[in-house]
Amino acid sequence: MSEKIKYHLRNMKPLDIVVIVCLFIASFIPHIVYGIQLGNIDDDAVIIATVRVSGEELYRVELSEETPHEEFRLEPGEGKYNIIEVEGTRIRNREDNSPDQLGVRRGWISQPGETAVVLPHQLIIEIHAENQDGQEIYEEEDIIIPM
Amino acid sequence: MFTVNKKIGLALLVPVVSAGLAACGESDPRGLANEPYDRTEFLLGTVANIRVYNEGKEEALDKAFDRVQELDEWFSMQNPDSEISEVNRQAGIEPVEVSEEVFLVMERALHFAKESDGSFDPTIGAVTSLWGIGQEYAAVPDPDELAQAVDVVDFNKVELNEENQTIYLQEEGMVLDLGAIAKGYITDEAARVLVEEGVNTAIIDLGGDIVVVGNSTRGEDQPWNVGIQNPYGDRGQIIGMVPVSDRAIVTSGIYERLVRDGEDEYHHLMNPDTGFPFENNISGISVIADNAMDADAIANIAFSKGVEAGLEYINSLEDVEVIYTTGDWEVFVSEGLKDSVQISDDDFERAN
Repeated sequence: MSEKIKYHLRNMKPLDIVVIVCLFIASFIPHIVYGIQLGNIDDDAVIIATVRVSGEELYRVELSEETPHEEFRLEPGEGKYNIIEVEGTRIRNREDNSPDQLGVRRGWISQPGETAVVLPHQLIIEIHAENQDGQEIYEEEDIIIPM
Repeated sequence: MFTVNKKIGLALLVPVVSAGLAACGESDPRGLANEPYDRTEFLLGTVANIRVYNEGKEEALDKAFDRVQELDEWFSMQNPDSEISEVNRQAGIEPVEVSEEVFLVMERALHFAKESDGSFDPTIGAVTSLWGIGQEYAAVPDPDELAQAVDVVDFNKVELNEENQTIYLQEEGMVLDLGAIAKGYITDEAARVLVEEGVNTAIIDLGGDIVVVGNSTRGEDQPWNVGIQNPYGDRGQIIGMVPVSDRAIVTSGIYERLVRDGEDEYHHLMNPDTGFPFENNISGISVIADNAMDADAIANIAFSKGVEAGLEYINSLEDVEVIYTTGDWEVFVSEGLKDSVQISDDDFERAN
């Protein structure tokens, strides 16, 4: 066995070593590339909440510790109102005059992927994460949450 | 000299090729995008969400939504211009020619009406429109009016003419309500459009009627995990999950659309015999089938039968599964799901 190794070592040429070193270094390239990519995502991610009525985006805010407390009123239709409250990292449909009050009962939401829906007013509050370029970061969901 | 050059060339090629190979290892033959095309709209009186995971298939998403909107206009009972509304206006007067799609769903509805001996009845419209559940005017109806409405509920008085593609309601005052089954059909159609456009990985959720296309983004042979709604929790709060691939799962419950009258709550699943909601211990039901239209009808029937007879009914059907939650926080599942359903909420208990 050791004879064989000695034989091969004797027959190695300088460029063989270059090839081996190249391969060795190259094998780390994917790790470095993905490492940089992932690092970027984590550092830059911001949490964004949007409020849409009938598909039209009426409000957009970044949810962070520094986000000022805010409360505002929307009128998604005649005689219909919603009061939306933003507080730091969370947002809610604080009050509305929908018959079922499901959107009010939903309470605060803060995690990307969470939604609060007021069906009779066609109003939806959605939260998603995006990077500094405004590109949405998609988190792989393991479970489909029924609407 | 030449050979040395060649070797250097080869050596330089190595990192390039290996980087390429590494990238290949990460990719998936399904051609998935980094982020899905995801859109939510208010359609069919509910929230419609479609997610397409294939790269470059954004247009397919538009086409699917167009199809949903088009079909909504034909099937809606609330829209006075819909084909269904025209059939209803001509009740006791004359047959109405309808589109192929409406005719097909009508045929399927009558099939399930017969199979269930009328516990599922597409002519329940007179009753459901009196209750108006899901509408702003929803209220408990006047008993006399309700009794009159129950009188005209009879699927045997629906006359289909295949040649002329017409539907005729034989008695005046009869009202078709295909809502219970049309939603499933429209979900199926959205999925069909996506597949036709070359999509192989997608989720279509039309207010609780879900069709999953292909397998999960976790892997080519990994099923999607679909959450089971907590009947007493908020929307989106789940008690567990069930693996599903390339199939439909529809969920219905006493929690979704309610009318309140003092202490009493009335849910939207109406008994054609009484004109009142079915009374049993079921709080929620999910049915898995090949398509959402059948799943919708079967869910209605399985609800009307109650847990025990319902399980028996579902177990007698091929490739159909059910998950019941009851008022006692119990979970019952059909034979085919015994090993795959996972209940993670400790308040609920697997009862079989």
